[in-house]
Amino acid sequence: MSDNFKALIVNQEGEKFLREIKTIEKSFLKHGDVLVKVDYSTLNFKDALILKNGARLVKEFPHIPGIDFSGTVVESKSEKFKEGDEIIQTGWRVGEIYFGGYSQFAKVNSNFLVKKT
Amino acid sequence: MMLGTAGMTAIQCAFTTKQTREVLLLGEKVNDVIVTGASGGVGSIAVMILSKMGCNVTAATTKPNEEYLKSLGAKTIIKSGDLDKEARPLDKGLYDGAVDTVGGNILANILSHVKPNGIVAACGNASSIKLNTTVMPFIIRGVKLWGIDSVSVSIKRREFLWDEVSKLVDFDLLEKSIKEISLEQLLVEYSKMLEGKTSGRYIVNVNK
Ligand SMILES: NC(=O)c1ccc[n+]([C@@H]2O[C@H](COP(=O)([O-])OP(=O)(O)OC[C@H]3O[C@@H](n4cnc5c(N)ncnc54)[C@H](OP(=O)(O)O)[C@@H]3O)[C@@H](O)[C@H]2O)c1
Repeated sequence: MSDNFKALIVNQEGEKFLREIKTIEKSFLKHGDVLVKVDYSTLNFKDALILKNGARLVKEFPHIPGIDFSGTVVESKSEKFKEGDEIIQTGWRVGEIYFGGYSQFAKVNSNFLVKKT
Repeated sequence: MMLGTAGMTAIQCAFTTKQTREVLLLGEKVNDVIVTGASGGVGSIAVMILSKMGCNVTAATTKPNEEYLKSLGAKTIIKSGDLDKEARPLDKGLYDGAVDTVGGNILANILSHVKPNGIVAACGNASSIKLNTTVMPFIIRGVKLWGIDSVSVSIKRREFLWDEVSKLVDFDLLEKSIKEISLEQLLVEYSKMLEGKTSGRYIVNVNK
């Protein structure tokens, strides 16, 4: 993968809540054992609440929201997934306590993923 | 990703309202159902799925979206505002079941309007997190209020539901109502959603 990619990052600085589209590096992604090249995420009501102010669902900043996404596995440390697998991610508090899908790449726990059939 | 979290939630709601009573509880057939927040992400897919399952769907909406909701399969359209008032403990029995995405007074009124043994699948709080009801619908009509959470559903159940969804959703129809937006546009659309000004499903193309 290319080392730099685009993501929407929310951050809290004092009283200010910031939303920015930034270019970040892979090392910024900190959770999970499967790296996914994201195709699509969606906008759900919960995402809107999180984009407004974190909605007390996000515990740590800076954060990448996006509670669901689809895409293709590019690296996997899990036996359950291999490069090229197409996946769907919904739920498990991804986009809340884990980084989510508003990013060109996402790292996620293999136990959360469903393979597209 | 046309379905995503909204699809996962809508199918759980639809199965709860219909199959749970018909199959699991060996109950009466579920014909007349109401979906609130009908033009929202979850609501619109629930209207589509329940219609496909053969139900006679009433869609409650705040918007002049009649044509769109009928295209998804809804038979009757009502104004959410008519239900957004203090609920009577029991009201005229109108529905065999319901999917509620908005909470608050609207959910309280739905509970009072559900006929005996109906199941109300509640997944949302788009109008309010509050619920001011009485025990009457539960003890007089055996109405069931069934909470839906799409966050912690086992992988086994998810795989089953994704499988079912593909049989119950008309993707060509769904695609027509989908808006594809970029991360930049997302920063504008999210606040419209919180004001209740969006409808249908928004997918985010992160590579756009
Ligand atoms: N439990 C779960 O796991 C789960 C999963 C997904 C979603 N949800 C919840 O379900 C709800 C819907 O989510 P969504 O992503 O579909 O959101 P959405 O697309 O914004 O849909 C919400 C819909 O609710 C209606 N609405 C909004 N404000 C209202 C108000 N003040 N009074 C009456 N109706 C109002 C609108 O429908 P009309 O335009 O037709 O009026 C709106 O389109 C949210 O509360 C969300 O948090 C829960």
